Amino acid sequence: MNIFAGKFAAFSGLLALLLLAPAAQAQVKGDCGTIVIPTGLGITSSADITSFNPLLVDSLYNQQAASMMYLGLIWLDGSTGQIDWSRSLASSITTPDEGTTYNVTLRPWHWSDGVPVTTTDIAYTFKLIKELGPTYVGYGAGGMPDIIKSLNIISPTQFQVVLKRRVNSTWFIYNGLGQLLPLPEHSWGKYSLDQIFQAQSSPAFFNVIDGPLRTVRLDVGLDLIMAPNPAYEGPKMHFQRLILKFLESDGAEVQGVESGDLDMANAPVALWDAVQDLPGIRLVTLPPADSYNESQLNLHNPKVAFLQDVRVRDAIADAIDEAGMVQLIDHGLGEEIYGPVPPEPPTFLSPEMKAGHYPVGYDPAKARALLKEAGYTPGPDGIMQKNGVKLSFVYLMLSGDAMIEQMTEFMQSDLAKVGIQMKVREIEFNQLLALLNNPNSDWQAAGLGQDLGGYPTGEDLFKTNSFENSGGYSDATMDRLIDQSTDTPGMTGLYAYENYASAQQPVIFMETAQVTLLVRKNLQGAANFVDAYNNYYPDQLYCTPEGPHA
Amino acid sequence: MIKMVTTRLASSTLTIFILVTMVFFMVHLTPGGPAYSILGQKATAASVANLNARLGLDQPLLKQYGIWWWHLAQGQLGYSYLLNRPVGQLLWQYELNTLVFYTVSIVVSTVLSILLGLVQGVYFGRWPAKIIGGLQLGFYALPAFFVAAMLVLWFSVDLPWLPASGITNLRLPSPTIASYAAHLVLPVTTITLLTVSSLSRYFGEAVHEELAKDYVRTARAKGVSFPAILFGHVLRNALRPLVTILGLSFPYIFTGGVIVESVFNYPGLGWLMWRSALSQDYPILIAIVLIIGILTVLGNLLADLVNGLLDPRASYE
Amino acid sequence: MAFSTRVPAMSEQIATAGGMAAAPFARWLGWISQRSTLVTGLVISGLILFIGFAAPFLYHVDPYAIHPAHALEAPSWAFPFGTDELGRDELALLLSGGFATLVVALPAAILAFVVGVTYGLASGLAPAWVDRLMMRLLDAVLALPSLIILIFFASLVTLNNTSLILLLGFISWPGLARLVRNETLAQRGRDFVLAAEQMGAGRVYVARVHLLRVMAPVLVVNGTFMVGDSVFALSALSFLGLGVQPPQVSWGSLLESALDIIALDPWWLILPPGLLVFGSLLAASLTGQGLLQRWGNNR
Repeated sequence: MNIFAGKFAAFSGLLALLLLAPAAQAQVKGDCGTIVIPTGLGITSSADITSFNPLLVDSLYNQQAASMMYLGLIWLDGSTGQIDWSRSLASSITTPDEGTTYNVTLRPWHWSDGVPVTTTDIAYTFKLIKELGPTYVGYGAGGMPDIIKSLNIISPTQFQVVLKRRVNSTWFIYNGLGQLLPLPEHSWGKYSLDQIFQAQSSPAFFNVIDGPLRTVRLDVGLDLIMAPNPAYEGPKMHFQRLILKFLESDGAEVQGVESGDLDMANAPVALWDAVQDLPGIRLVTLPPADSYNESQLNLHNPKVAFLQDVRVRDAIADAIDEAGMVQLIDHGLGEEIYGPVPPEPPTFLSPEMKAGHYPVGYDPAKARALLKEAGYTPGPDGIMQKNGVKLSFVYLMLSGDAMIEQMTEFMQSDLAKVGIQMKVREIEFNQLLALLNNPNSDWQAAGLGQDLGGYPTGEDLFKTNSFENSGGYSDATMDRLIDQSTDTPGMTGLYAYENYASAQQPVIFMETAQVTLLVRKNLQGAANFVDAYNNYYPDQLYCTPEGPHA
Repeated sequence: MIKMVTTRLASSTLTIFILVTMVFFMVHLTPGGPAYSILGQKATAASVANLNARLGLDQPLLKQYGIWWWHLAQGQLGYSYLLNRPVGQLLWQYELNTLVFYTVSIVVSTVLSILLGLVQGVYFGRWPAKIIGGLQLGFYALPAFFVAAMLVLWFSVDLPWLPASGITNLRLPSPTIASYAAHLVLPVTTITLLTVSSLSRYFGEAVHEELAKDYVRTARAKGVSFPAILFGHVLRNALRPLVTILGLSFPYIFTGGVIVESVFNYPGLGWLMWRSALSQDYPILIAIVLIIGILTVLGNLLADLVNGLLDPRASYE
Repeated sequence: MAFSTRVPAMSEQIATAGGMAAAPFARWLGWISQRSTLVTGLVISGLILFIGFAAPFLYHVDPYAIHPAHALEAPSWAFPFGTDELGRDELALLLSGGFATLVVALPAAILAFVVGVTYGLASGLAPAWVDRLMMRLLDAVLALPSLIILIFFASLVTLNNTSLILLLGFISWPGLARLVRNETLAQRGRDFVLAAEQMGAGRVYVARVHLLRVMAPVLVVNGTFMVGDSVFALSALSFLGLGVQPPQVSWGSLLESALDIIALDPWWLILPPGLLVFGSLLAASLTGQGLLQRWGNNR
C-alpha cells in the first residue's frame, strides 16, 4: 500500500465527516437548559397561575400547568381533531351498545413514586367530582357527572361507565369521559376535601404526578418553575427547567424577549411592524386555534328587540368584511368564521362548510336586501329604521387590547355602510362578565371570544337557558338539533346543528387571528409547541447551539 | 421618661385600633359585600351564597368584627381566594424583599444626603449651595413614576446595562448576590433620587444653623481647625433632626415604594398591594394596610423615643 | 403632607442676592430674583392651566382616532408629538389627558382645602376634650401614607370623576387641618378675637371674619402645595391603573402605556406626560415657595 492511499483514505474519511456532520447536528436535539416563556403563550395574553388541582383549574393558565403534570384519559390532537392514543392514558375505549356503556382499558403507567396508575385512581377522581358538585370546574360539560349512572371497576386496568341514557359516543368520550383523569388516591386519599381545596396552589401537595413535568416552585404572582418528571414514561424533554412567567401586558412580553428574559413570547398584533426585525429573534406563526371571536347579542333587552329578527342578525353578519379584517388587522394571518365550528381542524365541519358554503358571508347588497325585507328603510340620517325604531345599539368592547379595538372599529364602519349604527363603549373584562351574568342588566351587545375543543356541540352555548347563553337565545329547532347532535350516533346531528347555527347567527360569529410567536434564534420546535386545542407539547422544544446561520 | 413612653404607647395603640376598625368597616360595607369582590368573575348567586356561608360573611356585622379580631389575635391574616393562599404566608415572603430594598435605599440615601447637606451648609450663600438648592427644588417635584421610567429608558433600553424588572435572574440555577444587586440598582437609584432632595435640604439647614451658633465661633476663635469643628461637633448636632426625619419618612418610602416596585416589577409589599388592588383581592389588601399602618405608628413611636433619648431637652405635649 | 415645609434655603439665597447691589439695574435684578420663584411658579402654572383647560378646545384632533398605518411614529409635521402604538395623535392625547387630570385634581384640592380648614377651625374652637378627640382621629388617618389609602379605597369603589374627586379630596386634608387648628389655638387668645367675642360675635363669625383673615397667607400657601399633591396623587393612581379609567386617558395612564412598550424606545411617549406632571408639581411648589417668601415676612 502506498502512502497516498492511506492519506486518501484519511482525507475522504475527514471529508465524509465534514459533509455528514451538519446533518448529524441537525438531528441532535440539544438541551436548552432553562426555557422561559410567558403563560398563555400561543393563545392569549399572560396571567397568573393560581392552582394546580385538575378538578379546580378555573382558568386556561391553571389548566395548562395541570395538564403538564397529569396525564388525561384521552389526548385530543388539535391538528386532526382525533384522539392521539400515544399520548392518552386509555389504550382503548369501546362502546359495545353504541352509546350507553363504555369500556375503558388503561395502558400500563406509573406515578412518579413508582406506584402503578390503576382504576382505583379513576374511581377516586369520580368520587371527588361528585363531592365537589358545582365547584367542579368541568361540571355539566359532556353531561358530567350526573349523566353517569354507574362507574364499575372491572380490574386494575379496566373500568366501565354506564350512562343513564343513550348518547352520541364521540360526544361523550370527547367531552365527558375524557374528564376522568386518574388522580393519586394513595397520596391524596388521606386528605379531606377542604384540605385538598386549601392546598391547590402549593407545589408540595402535588408531588405525585404522572405527566411530563413537575412543579419546582411557585413564586406567587410572578412565575412558576417546572422541571421534567424523571419518572415520566413518555417522550423525553430537552430542557432542565421550564419557567412560566406571569406578565401583565403585551409590551412586557416583547420587552422580555428582546432583553433575553424570555425565550418565546406572543407577537402583539398591534406592534406588528415594530417586532418584524428584532435582532436574534424570528417569527413563527402558529396554525389557527379552535376558537372564534363573537359578538354576543342580548335578545332579552326590549331596547334592541330588532336583534331577535334573524334577518337583522344575518344582515349584520353579511355586512362585515371578514376577509378584509383578516388582511388588514391580522396581516393575513387569520381565519374567517361564519359558524359555531371553526374550520381548523376540519374534522367536524359539515360537508357544505367544508366546501366553503355558508348561509352568511360578506355581501352588503344582500344585507341591505334583508333589512328591506324585514321592513327597514333608511331614515334622514342614513340609519335604518322601522316604525320609529332605529337600528342602533351599544356595543361593549373589552379594553386594553389593540386588536380588539381595530376589529371593533372595522365592524362599526362596515355596519354603518348598510345603515346600522353601532356605538362603542369600553369595558373591563370582570365588569363585562358581571353584566353578562346578571339577567337584569341592560347590555345590548358585547364582543368576546370563545374557545372550543372536543366535540363542538352547542348545548352550553345556544340551548335555551344554557350556562353560557347570556344573550337569552331560544329557538325550538336549535334545541332539537342540539339534542340530536349529542344524543344520536354519527355526525349528521352535528352537521345539521352547525348549518342551522350559521344561518341563525345567535351570536355574530367573527374571524379569529392566528398567533405569531417571537422565538429566540436557538430555540426550535416552537411551531409544534401549541396546538389548536391549546395543549402544550413541551417535548417538542429543543435547542441548537447559536451559530452564524442560526 | 417612663410617663412619656407609656403615653405615646397608649395613643399609638388607640390609633391602631381606630385604623383596624376603619379598614374592617370600609371593606365589609361595600355594596354586595366582600363575597362578590373575592369571587370576582366566579360570582354567581350560588357561589356567593356558598362563600358567605363558608367564610361566615352572612353573620351580623358586629359578630364578624369580633371574629376578625379573634383571627388577628391568633395571627391569622385571612385567605386569598384569588391566589389560593393564606395571606400571612404571602406577606412574609414579600415583606423580606421590601425590607432589603428599603434598607439599602435608606442607607444610600442617608449617606448621600449627609454629604450634600454638609456642602450646602458649609457653602451657604455661595454658588455650590445655590446649585444644590436649585437641584433640590427641582428633584423634589419629580414624580416617582417619571424618574423610574427615565432610568429604565436610559439604563435598560438605550444602554442595556441593567435589568429593568424582577428581583433576580431566573435563568441562574440558584440566584447569586451579584444578580440580586444588579436588580436592585435601578430601583434604589430611583428612591434615592426622590428622597435625597428633601433629606439633604433638612440636613443642609441643620448644618447651616449649627455653624451659626456661638460655640462654633468660640472654637474658631480658639484656633480649632474647621474640619475638626465640622466633623467633631457640628455633624453630631446636626444629625439629630435626621433621626426624626427618617422616622417620619418611613411611611413615605412605602408610598414611593409602590410606584417604584410596580415599574420595576420588584416583588415587594408595595407591588403585592398594587396587584391586589387591581384584582380586588381584599384579604390581602386589608392585611397589607394593617401592617403598613402598624409599622408607621411604630416608626413614629420609635423616632420619638430615640429623640427623647438623644436630647433630654426636647419637650412633648 | 410632605410639601408643607419651612422657609427653604433657596429663598434665603435669593433674598440675599437681591439685597446686595445698589445700582438700579441690580436693584431691578434683585426685585426680579426676589420674586423669581413666584414669577416662575405663576408662569408655569399658567402654562399648565392653559394646556389643561384651553388647548384641548383649540386643537381639533380626535384623540381616539386610530391610524394603524402610522403607529409608533416619532414627532413629525403631521403628528407634532408623534403617535402611540395604535397610531393615535399623541398631542391630542396629552391635551385630553391634561383636561381629565386637572378636572379631577383641582376640584379635589379645593374639596380637601375646604374640609381641612373647616375641621381645623372646628377643632381649634371646640372645647378641649373635643379637640383632643378630633386630633386623635386625625392621627389615625395620618397613620397611613396617603397613596396607600388611595390605592385601598380605589379598589373598593367604581372609579369615575366624582368618586375620584371625593377620594382625593378626603385624603390630603389632615395636614392642613392640623396646621389650621394650631393656628386657631394660637390666635384665639389674641386681643382682637377677645374683643369681638365680648361684643357678642358668635364663634362662626369670629372664625370666618377674623381668624381666616389672619391665617389667609398660610392657607393660600398650603393650598397651593395641595394642588400639587392632588395632581401627583391622581397621576400616580392613574399610572397604577386605579385612577382615571380607559377609554379616557390621563397623564399618568399615558406614561403607563408608554412604559409598557419601553422596549421599543418611545421617548416621545414618555417625556411629555412625565414633564407635564413634573411641571405641575414644580409650578405648585415654586408658587407656594414664592408666596411664602413674599408673605412670610409679614408674620
